[in-house]
Amino acid sequence: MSAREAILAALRRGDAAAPLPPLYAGSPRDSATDLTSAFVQRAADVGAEVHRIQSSALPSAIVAAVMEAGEREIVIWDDPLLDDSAGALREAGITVLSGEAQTIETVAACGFGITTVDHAIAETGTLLLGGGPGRSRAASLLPAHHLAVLPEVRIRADLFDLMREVRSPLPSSLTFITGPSRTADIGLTPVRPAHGPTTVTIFLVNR
Amino acid sequence: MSGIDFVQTSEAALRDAELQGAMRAAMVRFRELQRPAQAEVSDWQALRAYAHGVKRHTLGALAHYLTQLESQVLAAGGRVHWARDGAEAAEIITGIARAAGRRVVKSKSMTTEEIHLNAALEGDGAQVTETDLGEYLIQLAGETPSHIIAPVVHKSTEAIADLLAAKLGVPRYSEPHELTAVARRVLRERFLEADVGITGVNFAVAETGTLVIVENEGNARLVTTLPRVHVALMGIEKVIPRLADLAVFLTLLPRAATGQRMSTYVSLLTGPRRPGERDGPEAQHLVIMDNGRSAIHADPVMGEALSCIRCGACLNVCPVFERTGGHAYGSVYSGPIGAVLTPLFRGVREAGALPFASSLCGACGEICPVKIDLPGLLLELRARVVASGGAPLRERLFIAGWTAAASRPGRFTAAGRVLRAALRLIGRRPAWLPFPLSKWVSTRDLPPPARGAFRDRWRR
Repeated sequence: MSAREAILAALRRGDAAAPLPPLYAGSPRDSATDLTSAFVQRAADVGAEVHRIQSSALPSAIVAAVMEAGEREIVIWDDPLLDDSAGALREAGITVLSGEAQTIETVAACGFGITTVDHAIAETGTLLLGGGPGRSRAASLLPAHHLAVLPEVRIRADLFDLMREVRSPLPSSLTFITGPSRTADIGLTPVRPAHGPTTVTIFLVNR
Repeated sequence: MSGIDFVQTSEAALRDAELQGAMRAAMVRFRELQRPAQAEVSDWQALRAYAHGVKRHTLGALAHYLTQLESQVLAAGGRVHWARDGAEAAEIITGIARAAGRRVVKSKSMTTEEIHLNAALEGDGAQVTETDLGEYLIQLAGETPSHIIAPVVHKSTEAIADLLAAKLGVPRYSEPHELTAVARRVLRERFLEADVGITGVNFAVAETGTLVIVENEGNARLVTTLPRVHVALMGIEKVIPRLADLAVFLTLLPRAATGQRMSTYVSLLTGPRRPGERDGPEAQHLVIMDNGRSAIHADPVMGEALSCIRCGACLNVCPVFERTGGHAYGSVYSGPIGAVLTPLFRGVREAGALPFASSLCGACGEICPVKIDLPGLLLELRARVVASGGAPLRERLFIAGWTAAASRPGRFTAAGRVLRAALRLIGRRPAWLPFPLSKWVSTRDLPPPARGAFRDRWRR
């Protein structure tokens, strides 16, 4: 008998299903009246930096952020929201990795990763990033600085609201990010960063 | 192999001042973080009850959900392997690593610790690097983790500073942020050159074939993003039916574990990288392992222990764990959940001492985010230890004596008189007590007994 058959046979002997509870409906939660300010507060709590940016001013704000960090090489997701910004960065003389050029080796050499955000959670200050072609997983992981562009309308109250919108088929990777990478393994002292980005900056845009 | 002698193993821990200081500080800190994180969730108790119900249902239909998980992982392009025990799992993973190139990076996984995977990989010529900071330090020190989520909690910052300086030949840094930076630099190289990434699994979603990994450092993301091959090892109990239930489990787990509203990174991985994607593993392997779990699953009472989501909350509130640390439990799983799981994995003959390493104060049962009745399970295990003849002779003699004295009113009254007289006598000269009674009074007072029995006064 294969390992698979042996395990399943042993389990079937012990299986006796209690009914699967219907999906958690939850008691009424304090739904924040203003999701945006709740998100800004909670994201700041976990060490992310949040700036409200007018959509029209996004490209110049991104160029300014990259310049301020002193980075000359950046990786940016292929996303309509970022098209103008990618152009502005190139015009500013920054080396911009996009599309096919985003390999692990090239992204590892970048100091700045720019992504969009699929959804955000007000209750926890969390960003949800879905991967895919032109949406490198490493862009929010290897560079020292992660800049995420979040349209305000994508903020949800809590994880329960958000999971209602996450449906099959799923992308190969969906990543929840809550602040910069951290550890407290040594002497219980919180330290940022651990292995991921040192900073997470969120540009909140009004569309 | 002789069994786990908890009294003996904890003895050394109780004399270790460094360990005592580190443990006390850590456990107090964990509890301070947990309390507000749970308090701000108004429906915390309802969430616990719901999670308990989902786990109970899933454990009652494991064969169904595991086959569903298998077909969904395959449909997403992953590969699935089944392992009856740790040796089979290690063989499967070793084979994958051998074919992929032997440079292995690992993120923290108690299940891989359980089967001593690193030894198997290294025995096969692989270079294995633990990448969770705490696990990396443990690996450098040649030790084992002492806490489910804080593996190096027993070590002081000073000891870690010495360790890194000695093992890496770097200057002796003393600040946690400097020490972390050193490890980050060393490990970043390992990530970039690795062939294989090995992780555990926090949850595996049957309906979508999604592997969920929860962490703070980013090392698990690196392990599952950079190497060409990702291998995930899961115990059969990690499967959950529905994607939407992650909302409940991801609300409970971080708040119970570290007191965070959300862990820094939660990765939902569905198959390997897809056409057009430039990173993520080219191959994804899921190893589904039994290793004693189906026997626990078949146990009508103890099966509940498989609901554990490995948050470590029961460790942090346990007065015994706080004083002994994790190593005294002689197993990778320590604290109350370890005292339940280890006897189930290894049998009460070998690990029968562990269920007695508890004051039965009940804090573990109160804190458990999936509402496992830990005190009840500990009591049941104690009963089994006694039933299998595992109680020490002195205890059996004492109970026999007590039964004889307490089952007849006359004997009870007479025994009370004798004991009161004896205690008054001893109370004047406690130093005269013979061993082992002398040990009792060496650290405790011996208050004099009341003049007469309550029953006498009541009669008057």
